[in-house]
Amino acid sequence: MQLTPLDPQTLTIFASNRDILRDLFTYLDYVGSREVKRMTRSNEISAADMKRLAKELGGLTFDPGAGEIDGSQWIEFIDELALRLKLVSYDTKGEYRGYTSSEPSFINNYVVVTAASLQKFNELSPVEQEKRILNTLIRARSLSAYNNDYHNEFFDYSVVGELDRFSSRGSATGLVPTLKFPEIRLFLFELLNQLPTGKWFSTESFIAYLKANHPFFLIPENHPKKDRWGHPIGRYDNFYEHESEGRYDRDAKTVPVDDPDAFERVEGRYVERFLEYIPLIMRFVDVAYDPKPYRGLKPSRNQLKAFRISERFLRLMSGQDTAPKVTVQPNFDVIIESDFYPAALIAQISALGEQVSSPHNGHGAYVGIFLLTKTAVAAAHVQNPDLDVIGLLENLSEGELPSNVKIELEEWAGHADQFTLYDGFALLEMVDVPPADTQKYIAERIAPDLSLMRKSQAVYALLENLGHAPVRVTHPTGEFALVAEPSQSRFPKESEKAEVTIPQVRVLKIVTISYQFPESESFQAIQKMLAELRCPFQADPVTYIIAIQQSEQGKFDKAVKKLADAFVLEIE
Amino acid sequence: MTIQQLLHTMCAEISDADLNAIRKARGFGARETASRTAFASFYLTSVGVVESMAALTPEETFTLRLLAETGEVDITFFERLYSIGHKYGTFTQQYKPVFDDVKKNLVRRGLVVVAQIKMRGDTVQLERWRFALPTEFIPYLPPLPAIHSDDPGIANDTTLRRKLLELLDGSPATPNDPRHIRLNEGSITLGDEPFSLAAFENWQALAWWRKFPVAITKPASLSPTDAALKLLDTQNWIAPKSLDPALAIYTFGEKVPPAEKLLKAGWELGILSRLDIDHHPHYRLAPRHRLAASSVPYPDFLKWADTTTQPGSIKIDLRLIPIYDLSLLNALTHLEIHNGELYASPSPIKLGRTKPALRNSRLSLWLAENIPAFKTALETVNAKWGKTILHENLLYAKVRDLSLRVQLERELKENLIILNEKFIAFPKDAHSSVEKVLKKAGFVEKVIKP
Repeated sequence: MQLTPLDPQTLTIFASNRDILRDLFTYLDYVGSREVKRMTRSNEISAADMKRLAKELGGLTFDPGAGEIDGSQWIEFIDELALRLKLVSYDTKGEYRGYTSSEPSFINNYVVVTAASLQKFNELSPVEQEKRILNTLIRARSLSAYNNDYHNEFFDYSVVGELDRFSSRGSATGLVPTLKFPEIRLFLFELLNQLPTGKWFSTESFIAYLKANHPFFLIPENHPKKDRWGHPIGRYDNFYEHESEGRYDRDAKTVPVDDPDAFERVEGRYVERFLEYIPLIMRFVDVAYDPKPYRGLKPSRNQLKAFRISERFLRLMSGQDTAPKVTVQPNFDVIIESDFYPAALIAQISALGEQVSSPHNGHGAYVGIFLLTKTAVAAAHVQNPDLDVIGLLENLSEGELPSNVKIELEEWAGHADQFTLYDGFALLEMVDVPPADTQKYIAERIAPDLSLMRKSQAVYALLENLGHAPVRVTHPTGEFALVAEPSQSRFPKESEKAEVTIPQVRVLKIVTISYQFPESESFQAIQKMLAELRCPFQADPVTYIIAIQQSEQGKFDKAVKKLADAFVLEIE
Repeated sequence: MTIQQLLHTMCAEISDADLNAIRKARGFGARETASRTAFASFYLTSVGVVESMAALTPEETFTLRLLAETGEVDITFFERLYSIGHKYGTFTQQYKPVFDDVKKNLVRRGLVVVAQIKMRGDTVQLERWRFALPTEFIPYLPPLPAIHSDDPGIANDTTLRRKLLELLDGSPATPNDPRHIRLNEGSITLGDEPFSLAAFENWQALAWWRKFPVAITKPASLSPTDAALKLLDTQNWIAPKSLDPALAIYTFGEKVPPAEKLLKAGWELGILSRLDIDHHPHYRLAPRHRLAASSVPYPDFLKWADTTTQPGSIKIDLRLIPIYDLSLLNALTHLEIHNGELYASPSPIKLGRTKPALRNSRLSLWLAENIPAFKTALETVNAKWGKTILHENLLYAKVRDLSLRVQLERELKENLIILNEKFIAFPKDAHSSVEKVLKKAGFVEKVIKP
């Protein structure tokens, strides 16, 4: 296939910066770690969850400018993708709450991660995961039974693209329901697979190639001539062009089959929209748009001027499963490089340290940097005492670790044993040697008179029966219980109970001076003046009493002086 | 909202007309009501409270008593006192007349505080009003008409003794009694719990309630027996007739038995004492100490205890033993029935389970003095007690790093006990502080469970 190269210098280039696999895993982490309840009316993700998800995904905006992806649309797309992949489940049908309900309601509809499916998905390699996403998108049908016939590039907007769409008027009848979009998409992907990577090609030449060589790639030559109701089907009857902005205007007319440019107007428009649908979403192509405003019959045509194939598309199509590259640096950085987002490897490495940087906008391969930390390595050892961190990292990086890293990791592994908590044990304090029968319950012998015991109930009963008159002390959760006299114990005893000390209360003495005014006018005037002088005061509008603190007397006197022209205030 | 908050809200928002009405009713001067903030403090003083209370009807007095016990209420509470409007009307139509009466007779008299609270959802204004009686006014509430007399009256323990004898013959003391008294592995149980003074008093209250059972349907209302327990005391003798109006208020919405029948049943169960004044029975609560230990020293011979029948044990006469002594024996000794008689023998296990004060109580010492086996058991347990202690509900940790241990000691202070050079113990709630120290110091926690 020979296409015309095109220099996109004068065009507006757009490349998606979203790593679909990374965003999918981030979404799954989010919904798995909290209870995400969908909205009752619309069954959408709530605004609060949207905001939090956008923060987690990073680099998204809800108020996109030119060349930016709408955050809410992208999250909805990832949410729908997770459902299509069966990695999550939630109700999509709802229930009609009453006879007059016009729409279903979704009561307590929580997003639940399907553990079994997720585990299977996790077992796939990153390339296989991307392939599964691609296949799912190629075969995706609308989740709603009512709008299935316009869930395709003709009528459905791309979450990352900017081209407008055909009017879906009448798309449930006629030719569209008979088209096999998965096969069409697969055919076009096969053609794209023949192109070299990194070179810009003219979309027009691609359409011309299709017209010349595969004129029936979209609509078969022998397409059905009648629909299921017996009405005649025209080749282009579903595709309306219109002059005005509205897609459903009366002036809209179908594309005549006999027009010499009919192929460009229908199939050509489809190719443009196909390129900015799955290929652009999955970062298989970059596209270049005409920056000039479109004038002509809508929907727009010949606006997506050029495209280029990315390296990752060819790798995916070739099925080459290159292993991610792991490098451990002497400064404890672990660098992961991979063509596709390596979720399982990231989970493994992030358990040993903290993420220093991760590309939110990795257009190309994934490069993540993690810093190994003492706490995380020790915690990993606590979780799995048999873990060999050095062996694991050497295995992943296929080489020896830097010697300083190796030494530190050995030391950090020992950190796991620095603090060991015993939860659910009882402490036996016994002056005499514990009887032989109790030995089997001893978990740890702390001192000759102290032992940590399992099954305290059984130990207590045993000691009772052996005539040791054991004292059982059940401590409250907030403090130590006081042990009754005359016990021999290291714990605080009743006699050591601190005497109740009478709390000291420091009271601040404030002298307040009140002035009662005889009428409203002077009362209002003094208030204004005090406020101007920034003197704090309290005023009772009922009794005309102004109260100030003694320390503010100077300001009050000043206020009285300033009012001397209006009032002569005599203070009794 | 607390009563203080209600009062301050009321004082800030009350209309001048209502404020003046309260001022007149309580006898405050103009200076005291001049500042709304200061008025809240004046309101709670005793000024004019007695006079305002004196103008109340008996029903209003009883309602205020119940209000004092209930705390904050809404307008429906006063339905027991004042008639509602349209029975099938809206909330406002029903309770507006009640609100007007409460405002006129209680709020404007300066006795009840009222304020609106914020509520979510669809509520009408009348639903948002809350009422309360300041606790400072409770001592001034007029008492029930009663006679004060030092005469102890007549106690009735027939039913109580019959209940104890159920242990021997199995025949219930009251019909359909669900709580049976039984001997189980050397201990007496009453229902599902060990026999004790509290358990026995609970049984008495339940037996009384079962004679007049009601399911409470109105908020703040009480069952007739609970109402009687609230209204009676151990000092004053009350005639049943004078209790009837109070019962009607306390048990509003329920079927109220005649007070005479109710109190007589309480007396038969030993809950009340009875005194006939002018050939009319009067009742009051039986003093608790009648059941409990008396302060009189134990004589050499206890009429309920026979030490001669079996060596090493005593025979107990259930017709005579004080309930408290029986509960003590249940806690300290091994009990068993032989030939229809109850016997107590020493139990080192039970002695070991009791606190030193109870173990060395006067009854215990009496048993040790009179029965050698008791003496031996008591001395053995006293010698061993406190030398074996089992601590439960604590967390323990092995800390290998010295600096970490010092930081933990500094953080937890008295909530940490050092067990040895490595182990520490601390209460469960201190775990969050421990985690903070660990995080700060860069350590992780390894958890071991049994």
